Amino acid sequence: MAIIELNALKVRYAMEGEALTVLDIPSWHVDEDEQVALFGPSGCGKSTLLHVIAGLLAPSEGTVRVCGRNLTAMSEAARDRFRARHVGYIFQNFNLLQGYTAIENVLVGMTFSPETPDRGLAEALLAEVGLAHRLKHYPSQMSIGEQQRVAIARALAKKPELILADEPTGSLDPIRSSGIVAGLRTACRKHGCSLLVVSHEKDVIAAFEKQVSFLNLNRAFAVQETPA
Amino acid sequence: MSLWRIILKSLRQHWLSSSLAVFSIALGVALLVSVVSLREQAHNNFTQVGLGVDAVLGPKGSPLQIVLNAVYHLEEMPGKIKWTYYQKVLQEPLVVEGIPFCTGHSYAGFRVNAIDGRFLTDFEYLPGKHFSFRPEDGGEGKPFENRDEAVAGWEVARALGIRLGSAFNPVCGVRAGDPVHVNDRIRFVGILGRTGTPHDRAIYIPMTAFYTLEGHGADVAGMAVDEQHREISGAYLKIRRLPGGALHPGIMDLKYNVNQSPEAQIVVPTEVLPNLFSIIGWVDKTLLAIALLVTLLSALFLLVALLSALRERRRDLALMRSLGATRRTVLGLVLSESVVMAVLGGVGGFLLGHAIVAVGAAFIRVETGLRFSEMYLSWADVFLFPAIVVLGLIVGAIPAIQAYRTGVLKNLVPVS
Repeated sequence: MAIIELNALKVRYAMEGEALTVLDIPSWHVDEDEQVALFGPSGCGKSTLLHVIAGLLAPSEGTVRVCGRNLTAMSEAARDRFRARHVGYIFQNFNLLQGYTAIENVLVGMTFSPETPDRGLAEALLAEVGLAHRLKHYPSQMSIGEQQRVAIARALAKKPELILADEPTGSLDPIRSSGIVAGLRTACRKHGCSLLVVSHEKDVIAAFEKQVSFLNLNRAFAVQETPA
Repeated sequence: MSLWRIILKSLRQHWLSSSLAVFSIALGVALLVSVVSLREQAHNNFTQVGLGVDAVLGPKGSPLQIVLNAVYHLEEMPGKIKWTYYQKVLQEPLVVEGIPFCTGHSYAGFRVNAIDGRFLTDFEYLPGKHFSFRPEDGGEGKPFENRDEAVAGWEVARALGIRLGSAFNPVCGVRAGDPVHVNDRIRFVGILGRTGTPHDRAIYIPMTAFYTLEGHGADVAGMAVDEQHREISGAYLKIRRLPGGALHPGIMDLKYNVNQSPEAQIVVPTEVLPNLFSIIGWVDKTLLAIALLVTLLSALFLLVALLSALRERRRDLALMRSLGATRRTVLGLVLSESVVMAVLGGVGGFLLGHAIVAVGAAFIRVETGLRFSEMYLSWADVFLFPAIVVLGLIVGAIPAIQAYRTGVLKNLVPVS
C-alpha cells in the first residue's frame, strides 16, 4: 500500500503577474514502510514537495493522497489536524521552541494530536535518541546535532505513519550528519513509520535504498527514481 | 503538554511585558473599583443614615448645612431657633415627637452636642434601632442624668480611650484655638454601643449642662429656666407615618408653613442630601472618567505587550502550526493569553481597589465619621469579571487575528 500517492501534481506561484510552475509531477508514490531520499539542486522544489505532502501547502492541480487520505479534498484546518495525527515533520533549522526544554518540546509535539500527551513516552523517545540526560535542557544549551535529535524524538512522539525531514542535517558536519540520519532511519523502522528525507548531501543520500532525484523539464520539475 | 501550560509558558517567556501589562490593568481596575465603591458607599451613607431622622427643625439658612450639622456632626448651624417656636411646632398633629439639641461645642476634634435625654433612650438612629449601653454591643455605663455627666459615642470612646469616670472640659466652638470651658469638668457615665452611624463620633451632654456652662454668662444660663428666652440649635422631628412606613404627605404643608415663617425651617434629610451629590457630582464624574481612562490606557498597554510578544513568537506559532495546530488553535492561544492577563489584572485590581477603599475608609472615618467598608461590593465589582473577560477578548482580537494569519512557510522554512 502506498503511503504517498501523487497524481498530475502541479504547484504554481504567481510571480510578477505570471504563474510560475515550480512543481510538475505526473505520477509518483512511496510505499508504506519505505525510506526514500530526495535530492536535487537548490530551488528545484524539494521542500515545496514536502510542504504539499505535509499539507502545509495546497497544490494548484492534481491529487495528493497521504496515508490513504486525499489531502486535496481537505480544508486547511482538516489538513492541520491530519498532520497533527499522521505526519511528523523535521526542519533543517528553527526546529525547536526556544523557550521550551527538550522534554517540553517533545510534549508539544503531542499536544495537537488526538493522543494524550504522555511524559513517559516523551522521556523514552529522548532516551532512544541518546538524550536521557538532557531532558530539562533548553535548545540554547544543546548542540545543533542534539537539537535535531530532540526534533526526531518530537516527530516520533505523535506516533506518525510518515516522517518528512527537510535537510535534517544541513547544519551539521558530514560525520554527525550520517549519525543523525542513521538514528532517524533506525527509529522509523522501530516505530513502523515511512520516511522521506530531502537532502543534498551525497553521503546521506547514498545510505538510502531508494533515491529520487529532481530533474528540470521545460521550466518545471519532475521526479525520477534512481535504483539503489 | 496542555494548551493551558503553553499559555502560561508564553506569559513566563515574556514575563516583564506581561507583568507590566497585568500591573497596568490592575491599577486601572483598582482605581475604578475604589472610586465606584467609595461613591456608592458615600451615597448610601448620606441617604440611608439620614432616615434615622424624619425631619430636622433648624434655623434659617442652608438646609444642607443644617442636615450636615444635625445628622452628620459636620459644619456649623447657621443660627438658633426659639424654644417657644419649637414647642409650637411640637403641637402640630403630624409631629409625633421632637428631640431638641444645641450644637457648637467640641472636644479633641469631636463634636459635643447638648441634647434631650430622650435621645439616648427613645431615638431610633435607624428604623427600629435604639442606642445601647450593653457591653455586647460595645457600650457600657448609662445615660446621663446630671448636668456634669456625658455619654461618648462609640468612635469617640475608642479614638480617645475614654473610660467610665474619665472627665473632660468642653471647647466653646468647633475650631482649633476656640476657648476651653476651663471650669466645667464633665464626667463620662456612659459609652454608646457601636451604631455604624455618625452618631458614634459625638459626645452628648444634657441640655441643662449647655446653658449652665460657666463661660456662657448669665444670659445663656438664664435660658436653663426661662423658656421664653431659651434658644436651641434645632430638633430632630419624628413625623407621623402612613401604614407601610411612608412619611405622611401632610409634611409638605407643615414644611411650607414653617418655612414661610421667619423663625425656622423644616428640613427633610432625604430630600436635601441628593443635592449634596449634585454639588459634588462633577468631582464624582471626573474621578470616574479618570478611572475609565486609566483602564483604557492599561488596555492599550496590554495590546502593545501582546503585539510585542507576538512579534517574538511568530516562529513559535508557525512551528506549532507545523506540528498540527490549526489557525483557530493559535488564535485561541493568543486570545486566551490576553484574557488570562486581563483576568490577572482584574483580580489584582479588585484586591488593590478594596485595599484602597480600606485605607480611604480609615481616613474618611477619622475626618467625617462616615463608615465605609472595604468588603462592600459595588456595581463595578459585580460587572468587573465579565467586563474584564470582554476587555481581554477585544484587546486580544488584533494580535489573535495576526496570529491566525501567521503563515507557516513564511515564518519557518527556507525554500530549497
